[in-house]
Amino acid sequence: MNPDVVFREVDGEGLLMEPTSRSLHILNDSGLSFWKMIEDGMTVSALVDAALEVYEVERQQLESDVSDFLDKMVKLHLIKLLPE
Amino acid sequence: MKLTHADTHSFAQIDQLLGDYFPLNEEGIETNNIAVGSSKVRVRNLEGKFDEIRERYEGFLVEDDDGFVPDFIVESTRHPSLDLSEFPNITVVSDPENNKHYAFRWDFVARIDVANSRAELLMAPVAHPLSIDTIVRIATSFAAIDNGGFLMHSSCINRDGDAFMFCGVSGSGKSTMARLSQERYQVFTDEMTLIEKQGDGYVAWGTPFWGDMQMSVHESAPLKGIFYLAKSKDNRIEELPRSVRVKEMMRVIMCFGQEKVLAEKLLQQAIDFVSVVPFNRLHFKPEISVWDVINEKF
Repeated sequence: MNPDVVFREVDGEGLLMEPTSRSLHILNDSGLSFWKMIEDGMTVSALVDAALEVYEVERQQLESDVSDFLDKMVKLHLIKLLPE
Repeated sequence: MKLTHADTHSFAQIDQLLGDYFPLNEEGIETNNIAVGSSKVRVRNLEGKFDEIRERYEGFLVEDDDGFVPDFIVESTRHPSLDLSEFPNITVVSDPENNKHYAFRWDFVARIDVANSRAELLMAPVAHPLSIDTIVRIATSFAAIDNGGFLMHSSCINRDGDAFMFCGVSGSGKSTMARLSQERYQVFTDEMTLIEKQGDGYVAWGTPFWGDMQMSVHESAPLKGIFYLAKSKDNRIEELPRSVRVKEMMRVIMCFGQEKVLAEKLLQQAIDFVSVVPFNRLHFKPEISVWDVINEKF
């Protein structure tokens, strides 16, 4: 996680702000739960496992969704992926 | 003396250049005090020719020097040979360790020291006295945030004692809204509005920061609503979830700082603000009839 990112929760959505660009990103409810898991330092595979318990989708589909989400967060400089 | 893009990251070199001039010696200084609502900026000038632009701040100048407690101090003077031609647009470089920002533009180099609420502006010989206005805006934006409010890219209309703000990115129509509203209502500003907390609500102030209409009024009114503008074929108010309101708000708040503490404060203030003041998207066609939709709802 980028330690500079400011996080707030509003009406079940997440607000992430990166201070340098001051652009604000909105997380929907699933994005928000992913963010909280990332905050807890969860690994990518643990994230997928946890999500599998909530969403009724194929593991493969979920893996690709989670990886899309993480890619986006990396591109926005909100997180950095570390080797597991 | 010429500055290039390569010099902008050499803070020691820029500090040395500015250190030859700042802090200003007392001799020959003109002091002007600018108040927008309760945000107070003191401008100390040496050969800055502020006299030529005093008119612009009319209504916002405070003569009582002793009673004026500035939130931010701006000092400015001129360099005899500074060449900044490599910076046609403003370039800002931050030194987060020292909480300072350096701004370079064709007409000036400025150092903004957030922790000490000071800005220093060294003008190039080609600078117009008005170059200082850019820094006064920045100083006012810091003062406003400190006071729990904001300086926003927004026009502001006084509908018989109720203020309404119209904001958006450049070209979204905020000055169009101001222009078409003036036949019916008072225009506080067509460019920059200052918002201040007052009791449980907020008030909006006109500011000396001119837009196309070249006018400003130092008056305030309770803020009844704020609209994010979207040009459209019809007039319609669209409600927005709180998250989107905060996001749109962030785009139009003027804030120069990049520190995490400031970002946290700003984000919390924005959330508090959109939780109290109705913040909607206004799809509008540029006609006075847009007010019918607003007046019906508010």
